[in-house]
Amino acid sequence: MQGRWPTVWLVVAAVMFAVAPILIAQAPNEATMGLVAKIFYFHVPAWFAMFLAIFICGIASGIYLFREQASADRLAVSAAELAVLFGAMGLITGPLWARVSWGVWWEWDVRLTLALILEMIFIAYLLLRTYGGPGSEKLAAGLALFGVFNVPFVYISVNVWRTIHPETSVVPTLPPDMGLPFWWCVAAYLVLFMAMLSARRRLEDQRATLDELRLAYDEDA
Amino acid sequence: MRRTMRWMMATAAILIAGAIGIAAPGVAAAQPEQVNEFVPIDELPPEDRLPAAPFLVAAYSIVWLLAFGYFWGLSRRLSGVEQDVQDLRRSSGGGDGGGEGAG
Repeated sequence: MQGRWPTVWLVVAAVMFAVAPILIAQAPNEATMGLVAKIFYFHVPAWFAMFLAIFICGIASGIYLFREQASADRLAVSAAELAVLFGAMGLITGPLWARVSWGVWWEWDVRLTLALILEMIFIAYLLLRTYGGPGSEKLAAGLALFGVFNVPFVYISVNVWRTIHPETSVVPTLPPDMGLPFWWCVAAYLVLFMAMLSARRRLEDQRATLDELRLAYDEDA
Repeated sequence: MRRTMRWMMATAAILIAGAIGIAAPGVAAAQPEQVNEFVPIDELPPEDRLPAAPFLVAAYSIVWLLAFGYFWGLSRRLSGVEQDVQDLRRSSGGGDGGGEGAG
């Protein structure tokens, strides 16, 4: 059954993403920004998925650091790769929205800068895993924990510091005709995330199997 | 894994270089004068307004491309490793083994 989960999640995600544009088209335009504000429905859920990926990576990294479970390390590296992917979605869609509504592609304010740093932490995690050599798993796990502790700062930055970015109060106060497509898109992203995570986790499991087989093969030879 | 990492590094380098390029003083000097108060988009003069639809379509298309690209790359990596597992099982006399994971 483990091998079927990515397909099941992927089919559900595909159906949800096919319905999403219909719901988004029916939602009213935002009063001051107009049509471009509909990027919101793909931009914010990408960050939700990234934060979920980071939390999974951080918890799995903690388990690996303190209990040395190899399966937790495989889950951590899978989630870290998805954190980078969904972070890239947020970092690309955000400037497209900003160019129209703010007049600039990028602004070095606290929220945007912290989000970029968070993305770079998890790129560093993957670089460490790829080129760090033996023992880099534990260094990377420590880096992942550092990344997790950055998430609250990214989230509350818009409420604490003066920034051009909208505050966190926007999502809880959405009117129902904007809230339905938004939460639908959040659910679609999270299902897509689960499809990707289960497929990526399977890849790590297969790599572990391959390593074990090679070791056994070398011992036999 | 290393090839994927090279692609990801190249993408990250382009993103960071682009962000730094925007922040560079020369580029900043070419930007319009700073606005010190919020101006709603529908109050801007027509020449300052950008058409929203291409940006909206670009944003949605990029998300789809990234998702499809990632799945395509992942399926290639997965099928490669599963093939290696099967080959090794065959060569060590263990049959095809079904290709199930270790975890």
